[in-house]
Amino acid sequence: MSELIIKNLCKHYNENCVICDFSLKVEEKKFLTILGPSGSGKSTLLSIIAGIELPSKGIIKLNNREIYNSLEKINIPPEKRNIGFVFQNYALWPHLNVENHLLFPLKIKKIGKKKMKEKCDLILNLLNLEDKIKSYPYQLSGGEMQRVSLGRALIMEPDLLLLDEPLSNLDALLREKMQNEIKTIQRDLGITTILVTHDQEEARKMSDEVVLLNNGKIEQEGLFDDFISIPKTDFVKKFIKR
Amino acid sequence: MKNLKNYFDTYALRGALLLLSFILILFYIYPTVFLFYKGIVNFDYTISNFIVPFINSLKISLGVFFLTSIIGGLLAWIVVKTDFPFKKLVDNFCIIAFAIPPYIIALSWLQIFKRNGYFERFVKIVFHIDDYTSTPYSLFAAIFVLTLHLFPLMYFSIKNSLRNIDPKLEQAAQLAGADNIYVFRKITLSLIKPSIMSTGIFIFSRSLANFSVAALLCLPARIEVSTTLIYSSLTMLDTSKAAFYSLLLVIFSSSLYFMQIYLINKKKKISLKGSIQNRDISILNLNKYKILVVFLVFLFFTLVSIIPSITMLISSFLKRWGLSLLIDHLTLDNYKEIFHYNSKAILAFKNSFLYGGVAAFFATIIALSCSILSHYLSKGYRIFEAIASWPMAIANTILAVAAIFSFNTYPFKFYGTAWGLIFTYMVLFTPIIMNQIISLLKSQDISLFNAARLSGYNKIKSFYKVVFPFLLPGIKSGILVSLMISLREIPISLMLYSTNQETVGVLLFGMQSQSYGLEMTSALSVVIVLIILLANYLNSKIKRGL
Repeated sequence: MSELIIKNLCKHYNENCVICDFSLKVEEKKFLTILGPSGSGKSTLLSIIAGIELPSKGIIKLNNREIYNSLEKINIPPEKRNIGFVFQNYALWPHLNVENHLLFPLKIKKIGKKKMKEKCDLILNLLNLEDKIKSYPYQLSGGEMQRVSLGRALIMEPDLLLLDEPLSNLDALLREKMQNEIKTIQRDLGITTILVTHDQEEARKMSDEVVLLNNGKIEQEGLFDDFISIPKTDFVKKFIKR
Repeated sequence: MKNLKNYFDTYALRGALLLLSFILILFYIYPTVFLFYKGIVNFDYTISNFIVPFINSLKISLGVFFLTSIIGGLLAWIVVKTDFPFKKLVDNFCIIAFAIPPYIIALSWLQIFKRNGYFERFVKIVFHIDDYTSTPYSLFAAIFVLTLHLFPLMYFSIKNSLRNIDPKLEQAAQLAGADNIYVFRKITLSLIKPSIMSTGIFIFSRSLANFSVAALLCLPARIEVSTTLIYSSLTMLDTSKAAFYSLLLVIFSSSLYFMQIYLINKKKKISLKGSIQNRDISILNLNKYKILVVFLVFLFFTLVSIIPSITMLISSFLKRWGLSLLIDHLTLDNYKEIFHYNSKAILAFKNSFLYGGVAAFFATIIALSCSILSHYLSKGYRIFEAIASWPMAIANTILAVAAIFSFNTYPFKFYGTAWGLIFTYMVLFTPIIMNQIISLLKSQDISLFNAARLSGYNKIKSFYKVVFPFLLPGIKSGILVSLMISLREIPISLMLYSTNQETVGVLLFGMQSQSYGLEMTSALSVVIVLIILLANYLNSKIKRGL
């Protein structure tokens, strides 16, 4: 069961508390968006879940398996967490073409060549990248790079998909198109997903649930419409556009 | 009045262009073309004589390439990717190691491993092996000495590449399931490979072009390399052989040069505009190994940098080389002799600075003209830039051979005069100064120049007011570097000087074979190194002002 549970998570930089006593539960197959202003700790939270950054304390459970527990000194390295991550700048490897990007996670798992090809074709088809298979990142447009980055994350069949402002570099039209595509793929594949964004419209359109973060603390969580109708704090009232 | 001004502007520009074209053809194209002609005309069927020395040159170059890659790569990895505490100190050691001329490193190698040298004496005293003899002359000695001089280039190149890799690229691989070793092999190494290769080819061709180290450390063991073979053919007045061998070497080194340019362009293509500001690189914690790594790094620098420098310093104060280290055996006479009024050394320093200075002045004008033409007038003028950069691909020995052949008859009879040296230095310095200028021009936003023009200044005034002040530190730094090269340069000076034109390089090279002894040679080396370190310090100050 791909359920994510975070308990009492804290992250300090020197004296500063970036994530403060943060607890959250993301149910299986749900699409959760973490919304918040710049510097609210959204991306740090995602990096901590992925294992790229180390929290100061707390517990993170994915799929009923503890991937981090400060008391038990458990810290599963990122390569063993089976989490797909789409970076804001896509983080595509400049020396690899699209095909090798998609094959990268499969080569590590050492699955057979035939199966590799099947999976690769499936993702290429799903993301409309068939004619870009031999292209290198510098030959791709912003939207295509975004798709490759998403493909690389999806092909490993992750237990959790993390999207760190993946659409912020795209123009308005393309952004809207990709929002729909990502949502459809997420629903079809049933992957538990967390999206980080500061775009309220994006959060409203894509998510089942939204968490509004400010200074590392949750201001409100639930349905986006509730943020407008029943804002729990002054910050929510000011931040959410009506 | 305005028409007259336009008329003047147009004709002044055309005249300047014509003059520049003439200079480029005469000094940069004609000698190489003439060398090609001489080489082809003198096609020599005894090519086999060239094969063994050429293979020796290749062995040296390959050896230096591998050793510099390993040493430079390992140091760069330690400095960028771990929590090694003395990062700045490693940088400084590398700067000093590169500043010391390879010939002087070779001299200190000689002092350590010569018969009755410091190493032999150390072994005899410490291990009581009385019949132990060491020999400093071998192919490996040349590889080792050139490595000690060139590894900093690889260190800085790999260090910059590693620092510029967006950490997210490595994190993305980790998240895809790769462990640290797999990430290093498949991502990090692939991303820095173009840097290793382009710097590697540069190091390879520098080693191939080297003359002085091979002459000092290989020839006594009867190991000939291509540059020493060309030199000896010339000294035996066998000009046809010298021309033919030079041609072969030019073809080979030019191919390397173009390969390097190709790799640099490829590197530009794959380099990411990623978030370089993102400095959250996952630094490896050395933990309990930290002390060991610090110890090993400093042991390395002690062995390759500190001990050779100290031996050189001690020898420079000895009354006679080979004497034991007693206070009674120390003297300041070697230094007094060097700075003795009217001494050969004073004349050599004067000559080096005079010829180097005049050559650097001309080289600056040519470099500045070529780079401005291609950046501000038309991209078609890149051909000027390419012609003036061309000598980069050619070994100093061959520049000298080409100059001897080309400037031996009227109306361009410069050989045998100081101008022969100056013009060849000029050709050697132009690419160095031009590189500095071009990198600055590329980093300057063209809109600054346009803003000046929109404020009412014409092209020349806009350039003078906005662009030139920005280029000035680069020009100063290029001239300083060129002057230092004129201080350490050996083959061009050695082949083109005549009476009273000896430069420091000629003096240093001659001292070793003449009756001066290693103590005098060491004293002169110490003086040269001190001047170069001072210039290096000034250069870093100039660059900091950029």
